[in-house]
Amino acid sequence: RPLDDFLIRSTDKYLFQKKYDYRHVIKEFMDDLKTMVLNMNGIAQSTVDFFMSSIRPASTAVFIYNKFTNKYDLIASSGLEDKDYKISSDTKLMKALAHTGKIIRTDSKTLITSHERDRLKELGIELIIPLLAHKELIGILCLGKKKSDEHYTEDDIGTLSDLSGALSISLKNAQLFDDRADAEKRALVGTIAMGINHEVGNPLNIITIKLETFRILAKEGMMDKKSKDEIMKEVDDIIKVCLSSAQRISEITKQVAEFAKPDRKIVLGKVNVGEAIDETIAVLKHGMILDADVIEKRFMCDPVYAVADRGQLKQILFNLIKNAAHAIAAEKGKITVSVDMNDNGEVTIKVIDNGCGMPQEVRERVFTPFFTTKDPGKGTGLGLALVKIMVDRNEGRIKVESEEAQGTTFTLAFKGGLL
Amino acid sequence: MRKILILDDEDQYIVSLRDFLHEFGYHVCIAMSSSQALEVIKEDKPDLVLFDYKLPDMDGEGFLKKAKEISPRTIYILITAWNDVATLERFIKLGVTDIMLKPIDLEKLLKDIKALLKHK
Repeated sequence: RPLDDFLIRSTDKYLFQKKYDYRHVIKEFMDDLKTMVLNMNGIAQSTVDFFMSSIRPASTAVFIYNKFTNKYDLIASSGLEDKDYKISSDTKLMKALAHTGKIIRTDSKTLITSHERDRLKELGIELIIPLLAHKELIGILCLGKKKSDEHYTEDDIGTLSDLSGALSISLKNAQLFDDRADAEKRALVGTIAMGINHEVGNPLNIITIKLETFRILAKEGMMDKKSKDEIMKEVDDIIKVCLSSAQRISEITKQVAEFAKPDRKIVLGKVNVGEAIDETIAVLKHGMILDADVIEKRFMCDPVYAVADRGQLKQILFNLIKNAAHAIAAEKGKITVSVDMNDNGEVTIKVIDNGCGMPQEVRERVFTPFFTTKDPGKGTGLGLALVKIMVDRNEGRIKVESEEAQGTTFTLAFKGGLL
Repeated sequence: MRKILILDDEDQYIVSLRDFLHEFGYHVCIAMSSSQALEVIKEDKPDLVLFDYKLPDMDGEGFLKKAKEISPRTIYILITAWNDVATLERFIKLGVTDIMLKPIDLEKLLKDIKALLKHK
């Protein structure tokens, strides 16, 4: 129906001539880019969605450089037939894009080989926009024909050039963030592996020696000259040492499993702090970790809620109070758990002990995985590292203050309020 | 009687190992830090030193160098859980005579000790 088509095309032509709106909308998107979630795929998809809903070309595609294959992978697109398309970085086109940083039209006769041009036309791509960050071509943005079938004008190119700058910076930041997160994860895995080697390796070593000793002595006939009592005493010692070594292995396995647990869904909700504390103390008393009279509660405000995952808040308190109990064990000190609200509208929970305290070198490393001042076999060094991770996941804060021979205070802060 | 020194920071481990070697007629001393070990080496000049280099605050190579200066005729055996080849090579270059990985094969240890001390 030629009249309808004509009317539709004219309207589109008219709409696209409203350059002011077009540029305004792009500027808004550029501002959004600055606040967008730091994730490359998310940014690429948002970009595709933006173009498809505002400027509405026949297709939009974002390709990102893959350093492992030296090709540009398609990570977000709409209107493109071939989703597995990869572009090699050694082509004339890509080199031109990287070198000039200029937007290239697919009908350019000089910057693309005819083979490349045919392929791109097949995919319906009209415009290739380089995404350069610090002279590095981290990706390209491809646009298909404009809805009105017109060519992209020089003004269009200028606007898109500005956008490509902002887009490149966003993508580069997201990439750096991902790289750093990966590096942190790898470092953590390394630390855990070393810790396991030590905490499992040593107990196994001890078990091996005790059992092998008995076996070898028996084999060499050296048991014959020992009395029955001596042998029974030896067996008893072997069993005791092996069991306690097994216990050590069990302990570290549990802790590491907890540590490496895949990010379980955290359910943040309003948790009654008083109840959480009472329930945690009940568990500690039941497990005989805590004596009845040693702990005192001091609630400056009650009832009060903290925005946190209930189970994790209790686990955090459990680990902190258990540590405090160990700190005061020798001198029969006291533990105080206090709850208050600070000026920032946060709920603060303090676990205070008047035990041996820590020197500055220890205090600075107290949240480091596997850092422990306890004797081998008496602590894995993961308890507080876990606490820190859980506090971070629950969008809270934790700090430690300590004076040698005076005591230690751990202060937690969470969003919260009066119930 | 042949004198052996064991250096490691795990007390249950070195006590168990000491008891084992004692059964076979060796006189065994134990140390839990490299400084403690160097003192024993200076005083007793043991025939054999069994040590691990991954002790906290310990420079394993530094310890070995110093120990060899104080008592060059002592035989040094590295017993460790860490099988990083480059590090093991460095220790061999520094004069470690034998390397054993944890968990120890006690029979092999006995055999090696007997053989090494026979040559001495």
